[in-house]
Amino acid sequence: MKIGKEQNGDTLIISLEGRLDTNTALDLENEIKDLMEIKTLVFDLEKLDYISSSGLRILLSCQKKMNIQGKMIIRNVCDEIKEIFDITGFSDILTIE
Amino acid sequence: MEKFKNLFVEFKSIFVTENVLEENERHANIVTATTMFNLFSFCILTYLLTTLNVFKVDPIMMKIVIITSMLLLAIPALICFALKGRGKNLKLVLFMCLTTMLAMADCILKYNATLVMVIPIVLAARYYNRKFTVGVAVITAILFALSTYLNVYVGKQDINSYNLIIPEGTVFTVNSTLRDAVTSVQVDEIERIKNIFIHFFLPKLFLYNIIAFACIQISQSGKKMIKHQQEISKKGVRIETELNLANTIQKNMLPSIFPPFPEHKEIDIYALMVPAKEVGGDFYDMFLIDDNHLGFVMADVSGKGIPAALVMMISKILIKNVTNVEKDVGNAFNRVNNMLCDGNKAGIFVTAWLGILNLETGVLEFVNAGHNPPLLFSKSQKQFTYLRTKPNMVLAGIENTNYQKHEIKIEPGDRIFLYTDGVVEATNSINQLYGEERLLNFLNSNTELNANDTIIAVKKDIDKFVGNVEQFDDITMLEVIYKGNDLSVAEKSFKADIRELNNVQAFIQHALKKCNCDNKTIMQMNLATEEIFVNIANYAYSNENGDCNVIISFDQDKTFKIRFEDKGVQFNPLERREPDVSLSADEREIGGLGIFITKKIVDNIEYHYEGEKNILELTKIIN
Repeated sequence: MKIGKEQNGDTLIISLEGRLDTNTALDLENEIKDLMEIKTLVFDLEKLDYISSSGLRILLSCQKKMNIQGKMIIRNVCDEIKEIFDITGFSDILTIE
Repeated sequence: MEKFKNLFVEFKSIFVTENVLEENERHANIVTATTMFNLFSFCILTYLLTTLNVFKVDPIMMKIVIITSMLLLAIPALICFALKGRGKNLKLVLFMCLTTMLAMADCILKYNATLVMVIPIVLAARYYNRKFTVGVAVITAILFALSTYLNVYVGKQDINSYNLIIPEGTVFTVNSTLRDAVTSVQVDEIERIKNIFIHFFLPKLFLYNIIAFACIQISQSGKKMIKHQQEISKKGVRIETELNLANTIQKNMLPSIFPPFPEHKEIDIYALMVPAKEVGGDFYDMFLIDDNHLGFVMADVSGKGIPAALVMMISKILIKNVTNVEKDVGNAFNRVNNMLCDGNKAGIFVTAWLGILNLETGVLEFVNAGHNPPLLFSKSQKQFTYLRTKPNMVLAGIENTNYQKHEIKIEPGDRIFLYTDGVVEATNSINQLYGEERLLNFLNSNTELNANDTIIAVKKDIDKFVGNVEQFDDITMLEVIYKGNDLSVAEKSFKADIRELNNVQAFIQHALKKCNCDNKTIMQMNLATEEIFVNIANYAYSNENGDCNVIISFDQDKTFKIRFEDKGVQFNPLERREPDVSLSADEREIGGLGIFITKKIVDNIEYHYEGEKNILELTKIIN
């Protein structure tokens, strides 16, 4: 999986390309260890075509953190992944644009 | 003390090696040495008596003889004990010293020591060595002749030897003892010596010969007996070696490579034969009559051991060959029966069950010659029942028996389980039988296993039931699972490691593509696979060394199934509490999502624990 990081001031945009599964989730976790200064966290999932429960776990823990610090936005979710969010109730927890 | 006890072991003649004659010689040496030691003790007594002047012989000479004797006895005896009787020429040394000592004693105390001449030869018989016994007999005789001669000049004289040679009219005056009076008479010494040899030595020699003869006989028959025993035991070893070879030949005759017909995915078949003795009388067989017909057999030859094994070999070959030609189970058994009856003088018979399954249509034709009824599993009814038909007479019983063919139709997912007496009649220590009911119940609680695992599981159950009791009869089982046509099955084993995830998903994706599956379903199945596989990889095995077997099947109902099997800790993931999806982010728990997602995206999910395996099966209907 390719992880793109773009920071503009206190906004961090993370774009994911490929699959977010158990193995690649570890890479993502390492990339977003330090969120101290961030007020807006954006995940661009346009090129992400697969997510599993490990990915959901990371999104959930980020959401919890950002609920204190600022806000988190998920963008460009494909249909299959949106369905997963719906089934698991994540659609209500995440801010999806 | 231990050493003393060990000496008694020698006396008890306990043999431990194969070289019995050599061990016997060691034991015999110890006996001889012990006898010498006893004589040694006797010498001590004699010495004491000499000091008390009991013997009317020159005490100084007596003492010299006694001391010399004690040396001749003690030294070789102690050497023998030290060597524990070992030593090629030890017996020669022992006997030379012993015989010399006895000759000396006889020489001095001819009057008292009459019996000593037989001691060497009786001891020699113990060696079971004819040559040695004869040698000892001859040398003893010579030494005693010598001692008889020397006795004329030294030692105690027997006044009987003066008989016949004292001239008529001689007058005695007994001043001290009669012996002194007689021995003081002047006689022709040559005459006296002649007298001694003819009237005293010769008779003794004659009697001695008789004893010697008996001892030589003992030595000869002892050796013959030992040699004969060795022959018998060699034969026994040879027979055992041949039995083991026969066992190997038999084992190789029964199909043991599974799957036997890998290109035929319509069937899953496995069989096992565990003989009670080295060679058994049970057998099974499976063969393709043509590309669409599977023949399979279960049989039990009466009796055990070599006779049953020989009939087993013949029967197996006949059944297969005749069935391949006749292609009809009834005709096949009719012919095989007549062939086996021909020349069956030993009265051995065979119970047998033969089935021919049409792999395309599921029609099963079968015939039963006095054999146990098989168990039939119906997928629709989800249980096993006994397939009972009126059995015909056993094979090799009566000529021209007419064997009745039966026919049923089985559906994909159905199974036939065949077995022999050894299964249902397996007995435990309180004489209970494993029985038909136990077998039925066990099979009904293990309906998810494949043929191989089923049979192994049944065998384990029988072993558990029987416990320590020795296996009495051959145990044989065969199972055929009919999977039907239009079926794709693929099976692969992966290490239960998350790094294998991509490989597992590739395996499944490949199969899905072959079924013309749409992309969305592919993605869903990939996701389900990840959730299940990651769970197994992380939790099933505590030491990271375990496998996960993945079996994919797709049948004509467009049902796609993925089955995950692992031998790890027993765990039913379906029992986990589902996460509450209505909670907010802060309230949500991190875990439990994987199984939840899987349940939602597949059409059916089932868990079983059978044959010590966790079995999780996902079902998805593909359009």
